[in-house]
Amino acid sequence: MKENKAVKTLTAGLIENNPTFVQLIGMCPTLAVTTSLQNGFMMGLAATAVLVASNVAISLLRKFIPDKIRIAAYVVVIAGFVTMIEMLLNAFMPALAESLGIFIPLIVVNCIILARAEAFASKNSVGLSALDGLGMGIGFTLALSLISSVRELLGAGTLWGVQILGAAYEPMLVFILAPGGFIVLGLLIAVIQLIRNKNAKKGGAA
Amino acid sequence: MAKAKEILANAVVLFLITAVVAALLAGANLLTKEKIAENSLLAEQKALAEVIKAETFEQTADLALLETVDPVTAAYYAKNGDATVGYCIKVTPSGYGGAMELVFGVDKDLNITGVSVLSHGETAGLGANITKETFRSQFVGKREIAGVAKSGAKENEIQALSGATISSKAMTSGANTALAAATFLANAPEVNMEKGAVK
Repeated sequence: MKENKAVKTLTAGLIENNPTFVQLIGMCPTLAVTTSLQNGFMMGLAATAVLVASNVAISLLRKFIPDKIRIAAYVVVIAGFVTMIEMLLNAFMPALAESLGIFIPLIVVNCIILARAEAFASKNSVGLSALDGLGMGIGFTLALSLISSVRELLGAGTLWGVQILGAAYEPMLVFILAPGGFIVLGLLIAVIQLIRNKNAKKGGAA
Repeated sequence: MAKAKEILANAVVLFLITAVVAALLAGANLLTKEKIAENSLLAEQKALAEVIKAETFEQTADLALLETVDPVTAAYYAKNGDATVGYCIKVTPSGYGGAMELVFGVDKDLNITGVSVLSHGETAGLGANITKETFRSQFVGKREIAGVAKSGAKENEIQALSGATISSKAMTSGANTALAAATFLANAPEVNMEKGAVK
């Protein structure tokens, strides 16, 4: 019984409750950083690390934080975490810090972190909260990677900077600009919805 | 009465949380301050070595005297031993997505030896291509750049990146600023940051 709940928590964020395609949160960084696969993937990894850490911290403090000031408290904890991670990275892993660049401070304003703190970590145990953070983070990373793969491939002919489509392919620049972001996102949400509907039907029939 | 107590209790908890987080941040800062300064110095030295071949780099203190139209954020003498072989000039021209930080290497004969993009806010796939070797190598060997051409660039022009004319123009403007600064440095007595004396 207990193991089932853990697995469910972990896998919810992948498709059924994917933060990007289903919950539609964290849209700003999603549209902004998915212009290349490397950017999207890195942002996803960094956000996942912060998600797990902040979910654990909020869950540990949940009995201590009064309901009326919870949002302010969450923001302070999250911003503190991200700043500490940024300092530690800059000091001890400068090469990684450079490739992540501005994505680290951008994570503070990522709604997903606050949303999961409010919707899950404040109401569940530390273990489950960590799993939720991990699942949501992986779901976010997958979503970002998927979107940026499409956008980079069609918009620049490359993937992770490596030329994939030949020189004969004239890149459709619209895909790496803002309108392209919305178009790709909308189409992928539709695809995910198709998959979810199929899963629901299967679950109902069985 | 109860309401006042509740407000006070909330305030105290919020204060405690922010105090703990602030303390942790201060601790992290203490732990990492020196290492970060060390790392950024190393990164700077690495960036300078990328644009010109020299043994040491000495920063000049005389930025105000570099009479260039656009500001120069830092300038270095590139030296082999005691002899100056060239200059490194850091400029921050405005590109499409804000200011970009560039460092140009200029030799004693006032030819550009190289350029490195330290940071930029250009669009990925378009203006971000200014970091590509094929674009940057255009600047090597130039003494003065008349401007940017969309096609068929002449000897003293830069071929713009397709779809990124503004980014290309910004880098070119940075190059001209660097050349002007280097010209000034070449004709003025040397003033170093640490020594502060005139050689």
